[in-house]
Amino acid sequence: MERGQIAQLLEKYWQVETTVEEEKMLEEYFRGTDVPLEWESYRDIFSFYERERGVKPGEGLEERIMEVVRPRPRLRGAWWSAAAVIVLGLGLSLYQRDKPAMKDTYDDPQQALAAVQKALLIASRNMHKGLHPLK
Amino acid sequence: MMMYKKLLVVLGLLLVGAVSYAQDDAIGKFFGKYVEDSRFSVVSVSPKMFRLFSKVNWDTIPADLRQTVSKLQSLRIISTETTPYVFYKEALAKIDMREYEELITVRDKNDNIRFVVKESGGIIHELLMIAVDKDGFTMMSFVGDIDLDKLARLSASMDIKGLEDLKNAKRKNK
Repeated sequence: MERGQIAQLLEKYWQVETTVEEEKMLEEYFRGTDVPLEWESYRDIFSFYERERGVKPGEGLEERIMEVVRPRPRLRGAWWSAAAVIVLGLGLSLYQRDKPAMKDTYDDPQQALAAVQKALLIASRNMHKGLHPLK
Repeated sequence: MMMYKKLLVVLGLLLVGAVSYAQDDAIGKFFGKYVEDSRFSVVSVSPKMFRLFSKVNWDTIPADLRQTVSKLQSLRIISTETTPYVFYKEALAKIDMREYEELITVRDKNDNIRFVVKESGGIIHELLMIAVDKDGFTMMSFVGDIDLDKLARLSASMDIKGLEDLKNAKRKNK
């Protein structure tokens, strides 16, 4: 191949205007022996591409990638719904338990305590009636 | 995939179980039904309020009473003067006797009082008193760790005058 032609192709190459065929021609040329000294450095570039093209993916690469990206079964979703059910259940049972039975009658602990005392005494008195009916 | 569906079903059932368990409590059912009913008067002291008792001045309270109160967790009382015997019957019907154990029954001309307890491992967790006479019906539930001996002795150490004092003290605070 003519030197001038190669120079032209190189020009196109650096403008990224070469076709696949033209690049093949360049590669072929730089694989040859009569490359002028000034273009010696291009030899590395074109032989690099050629070499790299020969690299094949390793055994089982596709499987390894698919393993990483494959859609998971909806395990996560199931666990989330399970967690939601538990939280809902606890919340609901606490709600049920606190309402309406455990709405405090008194705001003041002192008053509440007085009510508790009174209730205990009434209960105690009634127990006495049962335990000592003849008194 | 099937496994997770099964898991969800099981959890769902557990949830239903937990909710129905919460409503199973006899006085809870009765309370739920009548707490907003104007014929009833209600007193409830929640576990939260029981915790606040630590901030109250206990000096005037006898030691027996103090010990008993400190082991309680909650108190609920519901009472009415309207058709007491009707509500008494309803309350008894609502109590699941598989859960409670009969403790004391008093029946004479004037009174009809029942004490039932919920017990496990030798500890009484709930004492339920259901009392009726022609003037009224009362249902009282103490939840906590209840020492029956101590409770029975309380009234012996305090006379009726003590009770009146308490009533007055309550009024003064209002």
